[in-house]
Amino acid sequence: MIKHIISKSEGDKRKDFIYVNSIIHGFAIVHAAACFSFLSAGLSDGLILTVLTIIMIVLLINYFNGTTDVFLSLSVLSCLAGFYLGTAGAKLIGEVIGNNVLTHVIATVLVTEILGWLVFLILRKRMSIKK
Amino acid sequence: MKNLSIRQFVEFSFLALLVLGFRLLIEELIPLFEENLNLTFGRFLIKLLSNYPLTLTILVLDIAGIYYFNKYLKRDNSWMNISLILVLCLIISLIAGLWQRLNFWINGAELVLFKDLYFTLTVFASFIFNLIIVSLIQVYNYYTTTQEKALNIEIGKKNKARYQYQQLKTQLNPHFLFNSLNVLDFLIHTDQEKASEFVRKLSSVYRYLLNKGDNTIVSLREEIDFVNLYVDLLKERFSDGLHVNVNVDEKYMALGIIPGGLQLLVENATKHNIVSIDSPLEINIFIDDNQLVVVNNLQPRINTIDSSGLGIKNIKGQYMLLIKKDITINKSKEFFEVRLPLI
Repeated sequence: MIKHIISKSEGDKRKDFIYVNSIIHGFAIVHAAACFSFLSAGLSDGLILTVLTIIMIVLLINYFNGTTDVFLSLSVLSCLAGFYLGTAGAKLIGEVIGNNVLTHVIATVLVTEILGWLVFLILRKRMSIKK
Repeated sequence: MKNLSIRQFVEFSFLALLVLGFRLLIEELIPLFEENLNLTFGRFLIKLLSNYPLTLTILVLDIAGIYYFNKYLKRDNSWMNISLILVLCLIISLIAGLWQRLNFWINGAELVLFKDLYFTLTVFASFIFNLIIVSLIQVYNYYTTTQEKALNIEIGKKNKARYQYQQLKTQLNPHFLFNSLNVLDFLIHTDQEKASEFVRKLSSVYRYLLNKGDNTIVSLREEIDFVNLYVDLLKERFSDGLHVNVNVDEKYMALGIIPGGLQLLVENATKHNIVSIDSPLEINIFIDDNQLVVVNNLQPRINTIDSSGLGIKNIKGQYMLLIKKDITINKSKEFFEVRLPLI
């Protein structure tokens, strides 16, 4: 299982798609669970969500053979974007849904999905040449 | 399967801790903006960036710094790059802080630096702004260079495939042309109409080989039409000694195949086997499991033409390059079978 999670892309687009989907959706669920647990217990979820986001980025970068400097750049950007998008998203969603915990869980899931797919779009290798 | 190396693991873990520390620092420092300046971090940053000459200077220094680092530093020495970029961000942030506060200090006749909270918060805010700009530039650089690399690899593959096609083309047995000219000579004396048709087909065969040189893949329909012409020419020579049955459903005709691949297999079959009315050579071409199957009864010639199997090797090489799939060869006492994956 762990060997599969930390494997690298072999250029098979179908496999890549399955891997990226599992990682991003999987981490969105884990983020939601962590956010729910921490907020329900009255604790701050900021740190644990940052750790989870960084792990997700490490796995995606490792899979697509990203370099160390791009890892740092993406982690910093994701951290800041996650922080701001999460806060702003939670405010926006909070206006529709009254429940504070549910609002944060939804915002976290959305932000994780957005960040995950953005990272994927940057890392994937586009084969644009025509046959 | 290549996995995460220990070196990478250590590097990523260390950097992850660094980012985590940075995240904690943000959490600690952001409330200070509201507590001391009655401004949120966002508003403070907007106010800082509304000093357009300063913002422009920050951007120019960031872009110039990254440009020169990428130009003169080795890409594989990522730690050196990261350290220098962080130092660059810090220096630019200090410049921004001095830009904002120097006049104030000169008037007060005291250089207080970090004792001045406004200076500290300005350095912090511009450091974050610098980090965002530098990270965006790095990500953009990475994206463009990797896409360019991927494109170059693809172009390289295409060129290699074209080269192999050229090799494949030269494999079209020179004996084929020689034999065809002999057949033509015979037809000119016996049946001029047939001779004319023979010439037309022969020219079509060579035209196909020349025209499809730029393509790495052709449709199955094109290749089968070409093989039918080729077989017609062979039949003038072998008459009823050669039976070629093409049984391919219409729905597969739009799928792809490498140009000359099918023709080479038919040519190989006639080259290595006895073809006579007494012992006819039967070649069946059909689709099975999304593969084009070419199977013939095995009746090897005694004085077989010397062959290094270069033609089959070229087909194999092209498939590996184009779709990373191998062709399948099955040989028994009775038959010889080659399976080409459809693209």
